[in-house]
Amino acid sequence: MRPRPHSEEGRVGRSREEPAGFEEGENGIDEGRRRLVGAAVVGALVLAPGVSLIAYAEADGRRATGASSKRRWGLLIDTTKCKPSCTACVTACSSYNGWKNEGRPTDPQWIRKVQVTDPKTGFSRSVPVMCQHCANAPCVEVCPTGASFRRADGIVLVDRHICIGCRFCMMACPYKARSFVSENLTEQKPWAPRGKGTVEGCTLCVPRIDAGKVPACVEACAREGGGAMTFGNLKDPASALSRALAEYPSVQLRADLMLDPGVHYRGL
Amino acid sequence: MCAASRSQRGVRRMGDRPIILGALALLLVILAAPFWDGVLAHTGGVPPAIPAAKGAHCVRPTRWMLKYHMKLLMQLRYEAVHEGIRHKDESLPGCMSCHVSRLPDGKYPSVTSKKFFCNACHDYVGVRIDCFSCHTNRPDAAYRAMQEASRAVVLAHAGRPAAIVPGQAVSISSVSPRTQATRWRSRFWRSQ
Amino acid sequence: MNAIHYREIDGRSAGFWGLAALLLTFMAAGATAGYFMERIGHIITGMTNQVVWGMPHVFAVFLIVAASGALNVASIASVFARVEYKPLARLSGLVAIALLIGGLAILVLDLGRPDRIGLALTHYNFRSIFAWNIFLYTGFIVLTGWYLWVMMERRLNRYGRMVGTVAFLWRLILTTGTGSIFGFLVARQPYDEAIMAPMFIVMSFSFGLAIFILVLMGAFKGTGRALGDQLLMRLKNLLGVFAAAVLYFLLAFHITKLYEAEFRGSEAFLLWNGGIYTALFWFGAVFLGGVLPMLLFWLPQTRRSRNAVAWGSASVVVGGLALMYDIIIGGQAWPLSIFPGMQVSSSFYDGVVNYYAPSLPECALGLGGCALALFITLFALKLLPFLPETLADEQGQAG
Repeated sequence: MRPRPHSEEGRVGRSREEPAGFEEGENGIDEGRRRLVGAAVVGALVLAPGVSLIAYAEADGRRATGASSKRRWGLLIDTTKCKPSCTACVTACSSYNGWKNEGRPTDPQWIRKVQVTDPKTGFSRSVPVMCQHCANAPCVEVCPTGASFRRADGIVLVDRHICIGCRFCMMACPYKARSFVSENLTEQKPWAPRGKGTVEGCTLCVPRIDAGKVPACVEACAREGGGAMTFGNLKDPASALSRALAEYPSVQLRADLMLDPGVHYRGL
Repeated sequence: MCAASRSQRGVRRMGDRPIILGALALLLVILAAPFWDGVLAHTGGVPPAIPAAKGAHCVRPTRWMLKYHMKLLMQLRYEAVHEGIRHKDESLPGCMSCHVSRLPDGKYPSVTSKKFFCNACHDYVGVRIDCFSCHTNRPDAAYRAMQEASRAVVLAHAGRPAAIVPGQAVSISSVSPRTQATRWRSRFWRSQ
Repeated sequence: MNAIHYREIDGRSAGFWGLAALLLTFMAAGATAGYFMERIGHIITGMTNQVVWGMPHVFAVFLIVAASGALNVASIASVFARVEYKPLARLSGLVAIALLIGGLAILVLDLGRPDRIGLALTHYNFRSIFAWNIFLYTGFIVLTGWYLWVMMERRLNRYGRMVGTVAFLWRLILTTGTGSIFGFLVARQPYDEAIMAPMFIVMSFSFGLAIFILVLMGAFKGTGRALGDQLLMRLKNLLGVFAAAVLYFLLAFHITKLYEAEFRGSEAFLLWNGGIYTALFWFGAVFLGGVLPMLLFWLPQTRRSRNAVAWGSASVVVGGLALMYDIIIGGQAWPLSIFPGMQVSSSFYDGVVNYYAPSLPECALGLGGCALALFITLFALKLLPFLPETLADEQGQAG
């Protein structure tokens, strides 16, 4: 429904000013960009935590622009490897994205460790919970302006330029994955703009993904934690993530809601 | 009863009309606040001195940017947020890395200061922006490194060098903003 | 039935200006609260990441629900052709518009970015019930305005029934939309029931009529016009039936929830051991909103008393606000069930009953919206002929 900004004025004058030979094909710029972008792009890859996607991408030689529906980024969290005392993922997320939780009820928490105990058996697990990046995300459905949206590669984000701060998405999310910024902020990270009056949540470290890296929590878990998190492309059957999911049992949180989260858990 | 009430009504109306019209006029004046704001901003205004930028040239010719920077930013914003296409220099933090430098006291200018690149002009023309309630307003080395690493964009810059002499402040001459806009517009179209 | 004569209220008495000044004071307080909520942020409210909708939403949803109910008197007159309600139709339309504007003003000022309200008109997500409601609310104001025009312009009177029918259907859809805001929330156990849509419709009948009766009695008393017992008793009986219907829907809603083991935790919280929420439900929603008005309206000792009608209506209003608080805040106070059947704890208030205490700015904003609704009504009565000159009982007009 929303008009895309560049449909009207073309490429905002770029085509007029491009040096000769830059435009290729009927689609001009888009085609040209696709080629230029090429080498950088992350294909469907086998990924180990902490390993840069770039090397694979170049070897793979596939090309695409930005977020592509050929991929769906997802996570597998092996709770058997997650120690209750470890908060490496939370700390990494906080420092990378620049949010702080000082324990106030208005403070954000993009990722948190939930201690889950079965009262009948006493069995207990520590579980990192963040935005589950659902395929049928309720936050996306309820957002009146379309600020809450799902990228082609399955990452659920808030476009904070068009968020009006109604908080209906927070009412609709079954995972309590979103927070509302209740006061003026300063010193935001350049790659993670966030501000008062809008809703925010885990972005799966989308700037890192676009730069060919894995999310900060996954990297920290591999480095300092138990290596409990596997990140990868759910649509690629050859990815480490897909193979692990195919091999061992795993669950999605509140699977009964049929939201098809992109985050899977083992050992729950 | 009708006659009585009608005459009573007539009297009342006469008394109330100036009050109601006055209130409506006041409401109009209040609703036109943005207009008055603009008028006040322009009275006795001194044309802004635009802080100098680093680098050889902008990502687009200066005159083009004067008129269309917002369109470019909107497009970049849509591409980055919704499509995951992140350009190396063409981004708001990319702008900051060239257009914001430390002041002599070693600090970066605040977003409300006239020494802040965007605000120098925006304050003058009375156009308020809220970009920096969320976005950073200073260069960031880590961000630059990340954009370099991503290599997710490799769009060549516009071929034409911009009319900025490196290290030298660009000042808008002392004509009214409206005249300038007209001039830029005509120059822009002539240059196409 | 004789022709009805409508006349503006004089609006020159000390009482009129005193009331206007009082309402303006509340509106100014509400606007100030909205301003600071925007400038400083929602940190000055009691709303948190756990209880994301607070006091402003209690007032706003109450007013919006009541708005569509206030239109009922007009609908009964034109759609269901009950001529005895016809003299009240204009006032009914006016109160409906005023209440809706009051409610919307609260909602807009509570937004995190009220400056972006224009975005809500240019960016639509048609899968969002919220986006639909934006259409429904603006449509309601336009339709009801049109309806008022048709009623007030003699040449257009013959379209009254048609426009009235459209407005009536629209208000049913509107309240369905409002109820569905909560009914569609699969994430939260205290909501997530289709019955919330019809329940909100019945609530609107009750709250809207209660406010309408209070405005009617106040306006007639304030202007010294005659208001017949017959008409008032008829309205009162209708309100009693509506209040009973709300109780029935609450019963059906909670019985359904109690029957399903999944919801027993949240039901026990709301109905039995939820502290303030339990109290608000039983004393506020059930007793004040339903039982007490019915007793006042129908007990032999009070059934003929005009005071009982006023007190009963006020009781419905207070009970209605309590019910809204119970639904909106109580529903969020109960923690999300991310791991059903498990005990959970975290640094983000997982698994605990969420604390909420409304702050002064929130309450000021909510009351400011109510004051705005009354203020619009008050001045519209002064500017245009909404009120009949008399509603004294007529001979030969049997009830």
